[in-house]
Amino acid sequence: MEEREPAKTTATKGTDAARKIRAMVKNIYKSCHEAQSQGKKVAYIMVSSQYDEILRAMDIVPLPTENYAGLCAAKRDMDRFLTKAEEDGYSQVLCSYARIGLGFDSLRKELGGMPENAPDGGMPLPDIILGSSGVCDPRFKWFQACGRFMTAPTYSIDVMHPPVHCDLNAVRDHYVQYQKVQFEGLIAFLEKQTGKPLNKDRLWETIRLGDEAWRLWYESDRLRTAKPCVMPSQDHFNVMVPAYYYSGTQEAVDYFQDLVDEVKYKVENKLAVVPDEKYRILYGGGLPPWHTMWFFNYFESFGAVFVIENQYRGFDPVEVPDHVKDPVEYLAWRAFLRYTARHEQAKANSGNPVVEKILDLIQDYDIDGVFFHACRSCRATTIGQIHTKNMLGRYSDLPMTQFVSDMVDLRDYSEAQWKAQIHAFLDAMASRKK
Amino acid sequence: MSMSDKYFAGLDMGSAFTKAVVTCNKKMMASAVSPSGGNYLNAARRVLDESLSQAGIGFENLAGIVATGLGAGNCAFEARKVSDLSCQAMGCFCLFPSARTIIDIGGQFTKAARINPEGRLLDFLISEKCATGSGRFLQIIARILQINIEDIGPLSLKSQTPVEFSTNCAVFAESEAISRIAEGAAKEDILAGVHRAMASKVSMLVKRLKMEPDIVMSGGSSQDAGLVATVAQAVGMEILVPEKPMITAALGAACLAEDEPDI
Repeated sequence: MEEREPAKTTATKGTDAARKIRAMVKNIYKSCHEAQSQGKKVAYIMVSSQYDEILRAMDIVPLPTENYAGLCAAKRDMDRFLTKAEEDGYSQVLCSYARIGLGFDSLRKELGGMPENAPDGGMPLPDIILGSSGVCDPRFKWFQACGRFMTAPTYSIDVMHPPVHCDLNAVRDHYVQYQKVQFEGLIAFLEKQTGKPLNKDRLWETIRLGDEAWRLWYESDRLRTAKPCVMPSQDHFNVMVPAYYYSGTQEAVDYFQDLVDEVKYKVENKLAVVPDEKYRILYGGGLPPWHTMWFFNYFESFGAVFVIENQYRGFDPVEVPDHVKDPVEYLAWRAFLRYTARHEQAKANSGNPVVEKILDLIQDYDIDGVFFHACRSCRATTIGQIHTKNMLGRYSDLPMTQFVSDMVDLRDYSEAQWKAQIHAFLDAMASRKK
Repeated sequence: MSMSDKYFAGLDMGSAFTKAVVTCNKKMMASAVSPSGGNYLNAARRVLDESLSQAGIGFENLAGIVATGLGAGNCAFEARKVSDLSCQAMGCFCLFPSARTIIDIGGQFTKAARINPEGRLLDFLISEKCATGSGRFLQIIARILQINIEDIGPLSLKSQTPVEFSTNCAVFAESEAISRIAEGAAKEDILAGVHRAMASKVSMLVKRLKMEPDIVMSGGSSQDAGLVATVAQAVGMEILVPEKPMITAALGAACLAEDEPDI
């Protein structure tokens, strides 16, 4: 097959739904600017903090700083922010999302206004800063450091992460109660900032919308088990936008309903991503290389499609017990059930929930090879990858590979190395199929 | 040359050297090596012409060509492209059928691969974007010590007290080596220190891969007996080295041309 030399950083998408995302991303930043002009509060937020529906219920407009870093990388306009942060003394080994965010904030302060031609109009100064311990430590250390550049009040919550080898029945009440207290502290802080009490009926409504959007997202992924693949991973890395940044809104529900309808139609009509699907690849983990997303298309030019991911859609739908009548308690229960969903399965098998999930995906999606992306500045998604890969090797003879670069810092990427590795990986999958 | 014999060529167009091998029934008939010199096209023509001449055949006698390496995209011949790791694996396997782990220390990257009993790739890792784990590191140090590459191995084996490099960066290691020379350190001790730094990187890669014996080391750097010995010590296993380690990928390419019309 002929090699296709890409001329852009982004990937060609497979679905119309994924093509709509660019406008939704632009709208995130536009709506923040508009919200402030209407007197609404805008908050720097971290995804996966489990507090999205609370913010929506309190009319607080989320401003996702990590997403902004990814946006800068996709537009290859990250160097001025990275170097600004490094000039300020932040080490190159720190999270590159944080470096872009801090560099942006530093530059905005130094200039006394928005950096010229900032992607999508730039991030406005937030009114509130909301960190969390969910996923990694930069999620609160980064926002602590923001104090150098702004005076917005900051609040961080702890997000539970129960260990695998515990008796869930014994620890459940403790974790649920602990998480509830965390949310209550956040709500008290937000009520003080907004001057308005939380309306719990409104919170129930945003929770219903949030759950429905994530259920539909799950449904679309289950449809993707069909062969040939109709929705590739580059689309997934777009459709995470409404799930995370529009969570708790009708817009997100409508978006995912459209996605389900489109994927269903494509499956029924076998509208494949590539006409001659040879290899089905699982994106096994690691943040995607936002600076070079065309690599998905490079694989496709050899008949290899990324069909599913162990990244971003971290949770399947969960059933919170009916006896839970308080929406804040519901959020605490939901967090507990999400974070322990594969604990029992792991205890009975490999002992590792991530390995269990990947093994399930390998079987359900008829996978030919597993790809991991090690991001040099993202410890949270990179540490443990080799361990996971080696553990998987005990249960599967599939070829697995780890590519190294970074989610946004292009200096950690080598095109020649990636291409050499891509061809070796293709050969390994071909060898196994012979 | 019999009329029924079919000949195949493998071209390995690497960043430092271009290599060609001609095979017949997977037996090496001829080989040639030439510096790539930034012009893969000319280097490929040169080594292929030379190996064809050695084999006593013409281009028209070739039944197939496989090209590999960083420069494979610049090949002027009708050649199938195969990844260099697959070619290394097959080349090492042809020479050592017991091989299950391959280490290739090239000019830019170090690669480690596990292969199956048919010589096919099972799993592999490539070194990070860092010169310390590559053959370039040796070239840098050889230049400042003013010694020939081929003298590195024998000289380093004489070392009694290897220099401890405090850095993992080839550029800083260069200045560190200069400092050690100024302090009077022996060349062999500096070279042995370089080998230790490289072996540390290489063994980390191989151990991550869950290596299995036999281990074969290929690539130009495996001509350095000192490096081979240091890596063997670091991984705790004996390492087999082909007689002509620079041409194993080209040999594998030629073998793949013979038995895989469509990889």
